[in-house]
Amino acid sequence: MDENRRSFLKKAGCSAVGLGCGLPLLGAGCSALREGLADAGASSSQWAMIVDAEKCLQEDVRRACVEACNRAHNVPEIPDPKQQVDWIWSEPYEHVFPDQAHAHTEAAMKAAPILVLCNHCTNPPCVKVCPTAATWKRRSDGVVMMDMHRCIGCRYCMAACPYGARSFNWRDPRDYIEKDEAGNFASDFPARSKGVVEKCSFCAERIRTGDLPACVEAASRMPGGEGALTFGRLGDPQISEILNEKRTICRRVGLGTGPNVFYIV
Amino acid sequence: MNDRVVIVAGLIVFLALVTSPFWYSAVAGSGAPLPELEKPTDGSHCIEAAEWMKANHMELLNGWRDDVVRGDGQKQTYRSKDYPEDAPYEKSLTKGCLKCHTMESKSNGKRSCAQCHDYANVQPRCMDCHLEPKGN
Repeated sequence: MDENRRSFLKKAGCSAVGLGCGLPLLGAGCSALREGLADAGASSSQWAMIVDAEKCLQEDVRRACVEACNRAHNVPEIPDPKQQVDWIWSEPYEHVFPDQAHAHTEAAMKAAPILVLCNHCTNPPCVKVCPTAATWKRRSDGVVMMDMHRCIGCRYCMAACPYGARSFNWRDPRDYIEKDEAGNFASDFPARSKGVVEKCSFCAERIRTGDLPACVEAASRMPGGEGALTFGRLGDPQISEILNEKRTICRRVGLGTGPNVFYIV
Repeated sequence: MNDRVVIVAGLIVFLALVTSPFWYSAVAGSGAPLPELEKPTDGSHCIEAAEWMKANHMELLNGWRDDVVRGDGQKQTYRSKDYPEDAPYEKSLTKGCLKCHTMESKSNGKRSCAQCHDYANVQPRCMDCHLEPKGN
């Protein structure tokens, strides 16, 4: 072998550089692959909602949903739109589906109000940005949860959410929560404090005990509102059948957030 | 050196003033009155022995909060260690504790949390958000 000291050092140096560059790349590739597999689709235990936009064209059905939610969670009704807190509300079709609406959208849907709420995304951007883990995706059932005890009110999540599903408490909400004659709030659900972000929780406190979310229950009680909102796990037949048989759309699927609220339009 | 008397007298007055709270309570006797708690008359008991609860209820409630808010989506229950024959209790301040211990924000009831908290000068922030249950 005519390997001299010089050529040996050259090869050793090249190998070291190659290893130094290659290993981190390999690691990043592996973790990206792992994440890709995890995000491939929501699991069958993921809670999901199907909104029948046509049935929700009736104003009283939409109002029943929103009022039931507001009462169930002591959501304040603040007149100033800049400070308004919403868990479920209506938006015009063009705003809800900006990538679907066009100049010749059918008349029935043009500017039609659509019920919107947190999409409980499979890949939620709000969760990624939260610096305190005050919001997270619950592994057991895919609900994007909020921990009001831990929220520091930085509002990163509001900036990250492409659906505007989160509201900030600019003031103490108690003065704006509906009360009965005796001065009691509509429900025992904890009110929030100034400086925290809140949003729809798929009625985590109700589905825990086997009840349906307040909006779903309220819609089904309205005449003509049966089936306006359908709620269940993605693996449940009532959800998977609708998803298989009807044409449903999601809000801004191109962003890759994987919404779990589906719309029959 | 003629000021010695004045200085010593001043020091004595100063010490007497500074230590006056101790003298006062030693002479006058009683401190702040201990809160008087109304004991349940129907033979019911708290989820654990009263002594243990007095010392540990804050850690217990913190644990419950974490389990309910950050746990999985199932109903969270607690099994009593001192009363193992009791049915499991739901981990809930509003649906559990406050059925007996009325809330401090509004109520001045005899078994309110506030009585002891005022005495011990602690200000938990639970009631900033959690509400008093209605007429259960």
